[in-house]
Amino acid sequence: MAKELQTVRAALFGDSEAAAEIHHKHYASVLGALMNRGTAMQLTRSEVEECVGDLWSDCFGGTNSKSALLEKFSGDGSLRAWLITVGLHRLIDIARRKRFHHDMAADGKTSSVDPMDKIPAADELAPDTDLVSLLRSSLKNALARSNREHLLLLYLVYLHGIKQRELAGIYGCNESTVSRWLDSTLEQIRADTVREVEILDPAAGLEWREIVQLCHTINQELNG
Amino acid sequence: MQTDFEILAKFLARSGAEVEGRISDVPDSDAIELFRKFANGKATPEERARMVKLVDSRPDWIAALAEEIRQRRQRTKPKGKP
Repeated sequence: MAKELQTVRAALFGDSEAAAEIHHKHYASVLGALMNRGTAMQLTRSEVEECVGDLWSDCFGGTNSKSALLEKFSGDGSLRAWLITVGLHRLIDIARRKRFHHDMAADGKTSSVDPMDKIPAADELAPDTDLVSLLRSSLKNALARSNREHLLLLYLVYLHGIKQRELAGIYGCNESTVSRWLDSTLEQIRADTVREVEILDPAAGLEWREIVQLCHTINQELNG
Repeated sequence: MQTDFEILAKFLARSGAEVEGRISDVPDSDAIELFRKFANGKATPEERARMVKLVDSRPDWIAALAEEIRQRRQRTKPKGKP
């Protein structure tokens, strides 16, 4: 991960080999993943290609008023997942606008409200409801299959700061036993969530890191 | 850095009807008693099962359970150690 961040920094400082390495490594796979999602959102191939093309030029091409998009990559996660997350948000925006134009055409000329007033500003858009509900349903179904007691221990450790050592004391067992319970529950949640996403939206093509990254990005958006 | 589980739990809590941390009702005395027994390592398997079922239906009470465990930590801390 640190190496990826170094490559990104080098590319931003004008190292063309680093930029070429990023392109070689990620362009096709990001385009493929976004093409799958775009198709599911009823976007055309050329709309997705244009979106990815814009994403790519924004990644490197800063302007006077806007810095290069890659400046925002912190290395907190893989570059591929980050690119797909940013790309997905753009696709969602395009799909929304497309739906809006479609609805406006269907609405006809009967409405007295200026149609331009109905368009939400890009930064006011709530996270895509389809994507949020896909992630929510998949996660909830995965959690519903977890061992209830071990799931409770996960909440205690990761959300409430209880030490595994303390739980071992409560259960009268070794800390490694508690660690095994937590690890196996996390693994079950991981595997079941990925499987659920695949079942609910086979075109999504999301991997575990991408799912976590998307949830993280949506959390930040919901936080305002 | 947040763990994957933290990110996912926050996502569920913020994106929908998850109730963790939202309901202000405090646990009743029966629940507190169960939490205390658990925190002291005295709960029987049946009591643990009852407690798990209870917090499954009231995830907002997990915070109270964590608080009981923290209080036990304070009580059992060797004297003179920070």
